[in-house]
Amino acid sequence: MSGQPFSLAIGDVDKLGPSGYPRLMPRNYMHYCPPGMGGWGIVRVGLLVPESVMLFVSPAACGRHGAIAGFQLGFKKRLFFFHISENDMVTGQHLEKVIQAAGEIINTIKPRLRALIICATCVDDLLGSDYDAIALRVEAEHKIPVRICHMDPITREGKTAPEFSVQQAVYSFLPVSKERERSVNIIGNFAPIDQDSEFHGLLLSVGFEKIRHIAACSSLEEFYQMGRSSYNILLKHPGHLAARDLQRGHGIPFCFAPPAYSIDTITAVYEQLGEFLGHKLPLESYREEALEELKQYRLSLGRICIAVGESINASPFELARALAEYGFNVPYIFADNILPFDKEHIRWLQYKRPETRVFPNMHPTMVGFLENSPEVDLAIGLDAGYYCSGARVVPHSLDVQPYGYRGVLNLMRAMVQTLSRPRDHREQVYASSIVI
Amino acid sequence: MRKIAIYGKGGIGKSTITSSLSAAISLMGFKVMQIGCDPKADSTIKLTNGRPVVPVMNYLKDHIEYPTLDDIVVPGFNGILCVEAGGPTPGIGCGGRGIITTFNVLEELNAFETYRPDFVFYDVLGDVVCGGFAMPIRQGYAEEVIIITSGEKMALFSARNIKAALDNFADRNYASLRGLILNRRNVPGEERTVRNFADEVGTTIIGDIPRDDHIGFYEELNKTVIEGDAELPVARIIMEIASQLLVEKEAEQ
Repeated sequence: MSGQPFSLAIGDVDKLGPSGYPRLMPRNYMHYCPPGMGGWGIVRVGLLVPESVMLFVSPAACGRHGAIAGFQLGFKKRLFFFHISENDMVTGQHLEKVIQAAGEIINTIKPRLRALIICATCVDDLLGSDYDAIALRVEAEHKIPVRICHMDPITREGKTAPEFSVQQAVYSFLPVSKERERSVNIIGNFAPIDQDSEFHGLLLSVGFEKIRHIAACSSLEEFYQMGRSSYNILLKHPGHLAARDLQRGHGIPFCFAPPAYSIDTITAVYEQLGEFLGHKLPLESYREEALEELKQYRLSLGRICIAVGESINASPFELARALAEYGFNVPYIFADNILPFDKEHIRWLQYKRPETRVFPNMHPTMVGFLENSPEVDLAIGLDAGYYCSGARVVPHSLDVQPYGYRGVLNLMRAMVQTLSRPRDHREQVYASSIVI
Repeated sequence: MRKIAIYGKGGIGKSTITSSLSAAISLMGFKVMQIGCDPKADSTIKLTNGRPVVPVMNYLKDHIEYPTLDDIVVPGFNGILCVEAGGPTPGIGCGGRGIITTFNVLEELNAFETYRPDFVFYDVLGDVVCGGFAMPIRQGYAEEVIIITSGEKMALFSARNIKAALDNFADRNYASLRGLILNRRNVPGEERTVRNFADEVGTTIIGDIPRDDHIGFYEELNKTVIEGDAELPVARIIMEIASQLLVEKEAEQ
């Protein structure tokens, strides 16, 4: 395929809205799969549960990505595969064999594993296999917690897409606790908030000493402590169903407080968070300091041209708006989803930067983008770097969690460093363990 | 909320009896939802006076947008909420998957939380032939199963298969067998044959519906006999079975 890639003016994106935009994906074509689609897949997210292992049940080819990622990221020893044969599938025998396989894993691993996640795939969705019943049986036989997750891209268009349901599975390990500690959980994302973020100081100033995140838990017991926290702060939308479950089942209320990059949006998110926690957060000094430092970065960077990708630790629309507010030129955004949070930023771009064009990342015509690779000075996100070959690339990946005013400044610093000392994009892709 | 799944051999009268029970229970003042789990999508036709209910699978096939509850739930006789799963074109696709998809859609649309029915009846096609057709009896769906049978050999054969499936799932917190409803075909020694079968599989006959032309008469009018004339003897028998169902299985025992 060649020719012009499909794109929309930012104003047209606004007209389509969150439900209309994904419909642009032509369902009858193979999705184009650029780098940036890997990274934090279902297996890796599931294995955030400390001291757990995963049994992945699928036809042989379906486990390929997880297996390669397992080798690259060093969790292969925690990942087991049970490959289903056609005969087993038709007769339903594989379900009994899954129970046997789970038992074999539990009885073999030394030291004894503490938690098991069984990952079912599309074929079992189609068959209507009851994995919850399997989990109950394995739990009863082996006395360890067992949870079920699904790597089932056929559900991607539904409300329980795999990236949502895997987080439900992960946090369903948390026991219900009547005790409430003055601590908060950060959920929905994959790394604790950077230590240099003012977030920690702000929460400490209003009495929250402990900020918990699953990736910072070294044991299952430590992870279980998250069930005692008073609040959940949801950073990323795919954790929404898990947050809702924890609110309903554990009585832990949640607030959506996504990472943002515009000073005004950061302030608004913090104010909303403060309201949720019942305290006014003392933002002023942090805000002033950030504005002052930003001036220096803007001077240093000049009016550079930037493309923003989907595979970043931010909303592409909010980040594009923030960069535009800071005086940079952002002609291209690559995005596969629009979330309710994005709407006001899309509107802002529509009125202030109507020339901005948005490219659905997975659209098959994106091959055409590679042939007509546009020139930009900087690409933020590995996918944006892939499309804009020749650009210097800030990966801004999900492996770390910048947040708040310090998050913007750290991004600016990374932009300055990248412009002066660019890295090879291919190396960056491999370093990020993205499976292509 | 009580959820009851009705199984039985094809053509044994599941939809007729399920619809009649729905109608009877709704007349007792309860809110009822009936979900047809059959690709033919004709379970609720006698509750809507022939007004078609758009099957969930048909909706998904014909529309890009996700349905709303108004698109797939049709109020029928006495406010009974009628849903049809529908399924594939005969000979292709997967009927079982149609049921799974329908249940997922209802769950995503929070159907039970929205309507808060007192009773939900799942009218399921034939045997528990695969995972899809077992869906209504899984944990979280029906708690009780009623098997409709006559004294005919093949009806009892099917009933035995359904009971075997329930026994297979006994350790999985699936639905348990509430009992049999004998829908008479007037074969010789019918009551004794079915009673013996019930004893053999360890259950009871919770209702005995005689062969009665009034059922067929009102069916032609796309009505249940309950709607047609609730004072008829056969309607009273169905009302009596419905009254029994008001009592939960545990309480009954």
